[in-house]
Amino acid sequence: MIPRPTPLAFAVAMLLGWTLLLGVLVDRAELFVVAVPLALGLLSGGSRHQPPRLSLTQELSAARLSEGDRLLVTVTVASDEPLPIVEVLVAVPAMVQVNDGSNRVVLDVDPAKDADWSFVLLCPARGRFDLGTVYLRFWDRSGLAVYETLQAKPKPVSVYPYVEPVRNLPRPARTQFSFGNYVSPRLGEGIEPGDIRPFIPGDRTRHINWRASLRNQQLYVTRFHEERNADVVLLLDTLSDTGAAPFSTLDLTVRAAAALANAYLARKDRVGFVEFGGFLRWINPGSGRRQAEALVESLLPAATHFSYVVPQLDRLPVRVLPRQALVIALTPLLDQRFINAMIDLVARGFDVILLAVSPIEPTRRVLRGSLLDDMACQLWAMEWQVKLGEVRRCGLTIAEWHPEVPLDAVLAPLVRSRPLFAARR
Amino acid sequence: MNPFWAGLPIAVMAAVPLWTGISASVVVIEALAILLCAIGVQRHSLGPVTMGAVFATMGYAVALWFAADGIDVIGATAFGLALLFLMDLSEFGRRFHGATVAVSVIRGQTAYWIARAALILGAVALLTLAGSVLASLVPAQGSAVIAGLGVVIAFAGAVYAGSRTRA
Repeated sequence: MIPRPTPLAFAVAMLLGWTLLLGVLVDRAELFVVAVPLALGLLSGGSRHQPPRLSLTQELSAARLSEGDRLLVTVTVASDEPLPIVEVLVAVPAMVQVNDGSNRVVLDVDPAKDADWSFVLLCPARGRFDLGTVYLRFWDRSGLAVYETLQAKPKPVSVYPYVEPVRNLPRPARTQFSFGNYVSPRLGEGIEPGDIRPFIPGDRTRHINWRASLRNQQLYVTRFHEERNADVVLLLDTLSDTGAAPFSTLDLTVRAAAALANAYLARKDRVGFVEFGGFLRWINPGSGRRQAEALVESLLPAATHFSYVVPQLDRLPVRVLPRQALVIALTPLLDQRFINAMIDLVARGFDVILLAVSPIEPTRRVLRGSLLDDMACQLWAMEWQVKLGEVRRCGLTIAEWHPEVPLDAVLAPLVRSRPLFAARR
Repeated sequence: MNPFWAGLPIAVMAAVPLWTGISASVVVIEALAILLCAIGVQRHSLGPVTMGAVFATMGYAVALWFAADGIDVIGATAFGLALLFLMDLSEFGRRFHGATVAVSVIRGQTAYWIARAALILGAVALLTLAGSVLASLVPAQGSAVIAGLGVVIAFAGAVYAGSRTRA
């Protein structure tokens, strides 16, 4: 840490020289008297020879947050020597905003008492960032010399997508063998009555259907539909994105994916995830809290990666995209490669639901809102509707999602239109 | 720190040349100096303030050129102090613009500036006294030798200060 002269030192030195020059030119003693304060001011600077010793700690109120949460950062500065002016700047990444207080303060440090201050960061968008890079400047009282240093102790902070509660979940067309919440046409153990048949030795007496038995003068037992779980694969389109964080189409689809994953996992389903973008990234279907954690962790870094390569879903391992799985594709329908991949999935017999998030509203947010912008958006909305119609004609089930409408309301019509009984595997 | 505090040294800096010898050229130069300083303070930039100080010094030199003989030590000291404070204040405002400055820092800095002003006033008084004593003691031929000695001492002091800072 080497002290360096500040612009003030150069300015005062220049002014001193100018005053002396004018004094010589004009031949007046007053200008030499004027030079005395400037010269003494210059001499008063740079009295420190040793770099200041200082310890700095930074505490965060949480390391894991949800979108829209606030993070309290407390910085404590301590030193064993008095430091008259310490300027501290806590580097804040562009994805967060200083909500309350300031991340740049000027304070004096007394060895007897630690100096501390706090500020609040608003985390509006999902992502990961590091806090802990602090820039320090130690100013001389004269302002003529400054020491600069950097302290980097990265503290990772994760901002997870906001998970909206979803009650209207589309029912999968096919079920798996594990126990779950969907009524399967398969008869066995369950609570949903299905059929009756004559009693055979070994049947449980509590399954005897007394009304049918009395009518037929023979013992009958009730058979029940099995309750099974399903595989759900969330397919996220990261080929294209429009709008600005935290309201870009990708942010909206990520939020929807997190909400759907959470809701399906709560129903004991196995949920998997495939990121369909510049490269394919996936998580095998699974269930439970660990899977929920893995899914949100994998959704966190989702971003567009430009590539000319067309990702091929048929190259995915079968366990990643099981044939009986319900595939929910989340897309703004901006890239034809994704649409083609979905049409291909439907042709291969997959049960696909396309949750199409409108790209018009997120784009409108970042426009100035002029008449021309409005007209362009209206034209684009019409084009988008035409594209929706084309995709629908290819046999895809589409849920059209305009961001101002809650996701639950968008999914409700799908719940009604889907079969009540899931098909046998 | 309130930027209006910078108005005080600007006022002194403009008033001393006008007090010394008012003329159209001095008024124009000082008006330009005030304008530049005000812009620099307002925009938190040291460059215009330095330029304003340069113009103000030039205006003072012009005023002295047309003024009567006789040395105005008090006016010159006030002008020099105003220059220094203006530079200090504008630089303080510039470098901490947008930051939260603790009240104790401003209090300590103000105390430092007042103490330094007192020291400078004392030094000027001492130098003036020493100059008067020397002028009465040393014959006219020896004044050049004394002035030369002063230059050598000042140069040695500057070299020493420079080497001490570098170490």
